[in-house]
Amino acid sequence: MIDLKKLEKILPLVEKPGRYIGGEVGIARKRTDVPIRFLFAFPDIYEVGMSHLGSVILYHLTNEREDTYAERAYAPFPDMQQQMEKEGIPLFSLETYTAADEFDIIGFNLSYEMCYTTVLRMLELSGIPLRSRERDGSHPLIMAGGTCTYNPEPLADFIDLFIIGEGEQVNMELLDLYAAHKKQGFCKERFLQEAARIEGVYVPSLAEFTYREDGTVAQIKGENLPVRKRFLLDVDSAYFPDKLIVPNVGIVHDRVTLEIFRGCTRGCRFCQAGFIYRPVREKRVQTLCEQARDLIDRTGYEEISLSSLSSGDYSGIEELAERLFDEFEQKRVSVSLPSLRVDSFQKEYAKRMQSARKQSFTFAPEAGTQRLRDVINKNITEEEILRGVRYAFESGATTIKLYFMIGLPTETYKDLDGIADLVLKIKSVFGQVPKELRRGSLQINVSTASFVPKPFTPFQWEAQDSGDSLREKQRYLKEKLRMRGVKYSYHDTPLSYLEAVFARGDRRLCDVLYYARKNGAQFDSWQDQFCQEAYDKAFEQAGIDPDFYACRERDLDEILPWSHIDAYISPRYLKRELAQAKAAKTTPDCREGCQGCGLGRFCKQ
Amino acid sequence: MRAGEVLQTMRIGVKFGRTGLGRFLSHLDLQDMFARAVRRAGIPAQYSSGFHPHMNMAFASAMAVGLETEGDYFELQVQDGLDCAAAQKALAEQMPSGFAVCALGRLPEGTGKLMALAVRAEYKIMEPDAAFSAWLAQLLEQESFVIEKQRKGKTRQMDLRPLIYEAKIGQSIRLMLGNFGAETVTPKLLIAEAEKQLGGLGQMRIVRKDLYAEQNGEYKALSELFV
Repeated sequence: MIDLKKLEKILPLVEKPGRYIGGEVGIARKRTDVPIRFLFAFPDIYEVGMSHLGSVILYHLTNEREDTYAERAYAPFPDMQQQMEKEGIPLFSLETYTAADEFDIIGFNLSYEMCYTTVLRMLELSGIPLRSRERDGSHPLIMAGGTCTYNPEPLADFIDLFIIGEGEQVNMELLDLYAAHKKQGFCKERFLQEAARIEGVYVPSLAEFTYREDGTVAQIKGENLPVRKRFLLDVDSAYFPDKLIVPNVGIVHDRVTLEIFRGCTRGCRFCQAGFIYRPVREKRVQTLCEQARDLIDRTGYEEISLSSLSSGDYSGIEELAERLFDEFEQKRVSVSLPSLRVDSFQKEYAKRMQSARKQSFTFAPEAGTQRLRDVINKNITEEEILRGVRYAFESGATTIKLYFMIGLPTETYKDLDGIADLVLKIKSVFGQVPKELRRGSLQINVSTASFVPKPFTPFQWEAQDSGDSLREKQRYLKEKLRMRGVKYSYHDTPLSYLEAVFARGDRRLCDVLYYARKNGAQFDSWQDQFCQEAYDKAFEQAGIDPDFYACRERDLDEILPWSHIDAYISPRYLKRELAQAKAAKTTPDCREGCQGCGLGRFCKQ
Repeated sequence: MRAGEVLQTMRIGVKFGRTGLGRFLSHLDLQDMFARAVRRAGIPAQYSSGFHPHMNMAFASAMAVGLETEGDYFELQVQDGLDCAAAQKALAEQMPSGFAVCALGRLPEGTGKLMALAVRAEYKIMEPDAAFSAWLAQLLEQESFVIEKQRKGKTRQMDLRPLIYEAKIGQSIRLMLGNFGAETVTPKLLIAEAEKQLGGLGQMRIVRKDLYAEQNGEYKALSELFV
């Protein structure tokens, strides 16, 4: 246990000390002399990490085990890091204030590429050597799971093992194995050898990469390859905690988040989540209502939001929304439906949601013209968008948020003009809504993200648009959207570029991350923390040309650095989808007929 | 409340303490924490009317981040007929580490807002710096001690001395201080003044012991108003 006196001494000196105090209602309280002590480490601040549903589920699930005590640690913000280092306080858990290096296993969640240097920073703060080969059985085992593990290679040197896919089952199998090994006297190498045989476990030190002269991958060798992702067949009966930790400070998603289904049938070609989380698996309305009730009772939250990739696609959405509204209206709990697609937007919900205090609606057309929306298979028409917007206005909304991407494959300036045209049309819809239904003046917030090609999508072979071109497009849109009541904002280009590098990078990038960290990089997705020079220098130090990863179109036959990971998505299907994209042809939602992505045999239909 | 609508409600007061790491919650987070705890405990709190209804909860005194307390208060409008003993137990079970519910009771009709009633605050300074104790003893000998207070860019003069109602200096220091709007003196303020003259002092642990209201010339802890 760390010296709490020292902690109390530094807390008055840092911003939002409530992040670091732990002891929340709902945490696991157990004996610390259990066989396995597990630390869930989240490479971002408390407010972000506490909002991550996957970690929450796994935390409570792991604590169902008698032989394991799972605790949590989030990345201390730099001001806190400075104080901790000054006082000699290492990274510690929020349950028992135990130093991170005293745990048997540390499990990181990787939900975004730009958290990688923060992972390294957390290891530094724990006093744990960064590279896997510098650690032995006396150090905690370092594992990682989450979205980014579908291409684990950029972290291959640092992480002992990766979990590919959903963790509920595979984590338990891994802990069983760990418990058995610990009983016999733990040997890291022997353990990793055996762990690699568990489906869904990837041990990077057991895989060997060779490269061609042109820098592309020649071969990936290793036993137990490819590693298949794990997923639950039945999400309805799967473990779901009946309690949540009630955070000490206001967090990003400060409400009950109810996961209604996993996977997505849409097939939007830019969306990695839409492919890697297949197949669609729903929970029953009854199950969800029970879970919602439990969680509201046990947290005291006043808001529930439904979580999934496309909540409007949930087969029981109307019944669910109705039952939740009915149950919670008198309990003063509001129900919100995020990620709602425009085409599934229903007037009735719009009204009731508004009665539950909503004045702002978000739409994500993603692209400005029908042609480009067809390219990315965002199967939604302008008419549907305008209809959704009209409903929103009629129910009293005055703020509309519009999300677009720029730098999409085949994009031209005509597509950018399309964004401005759509904004104008939305303005005119507002003008047509009867005055007595409107509340105040219209505010449209347009935001663009720069497209990042991701593994396991049809665009995984595509080059990312260059920084110059993206900046030019942003300038162009800024001019075009200079209108009354319209605000335009865009994501930082250098960050999207780095995201593209690491999303499709190989293990030669480990050196880049190592140097970037040594050059001071951490919290890269925080605008005021991001340090471009740290990366520029790191690429130089590692002798790596980042353009090779971000801006290069891959040959369709190239061995991609994630070829040894099997997400069940057939490469043939992805190539077909790419060809369709180039021809601006759409592919129907797979509920209208199987499109042969490779997971059809697991689908209910 | 809409005109003509009859809601049977009552006001309750809750006395709570916070120690250890719990004292590093901000006032805003503290409010959220208690509001959620009240909901979890099943206490039928009343809400404000309007577009953004919120729990009618008011704290007797704003709590600075880091302040340790054994006697702070909030009041709450609840449905009439609440079993206070049961509610106290239920609420206590919902506290995060470092928080305690010390008392919960009905506030008789006509009782003013706790915030307005809490005119004095009692503090204890544990293991005080000897230099500070000496400085304070000297201050108590004087009839006035005027300081300059900065607030909203304006400098204002304030006499501390009459706002120090009681002071016992020994192994620890017990203070009864003015706690009413502009007439508020805190140990932190005293220490800051001392440091202006003496330079840096050692860290001292300060505990707020209770808040007091005046009733017929007597000062009573707010919890003594509970019935």
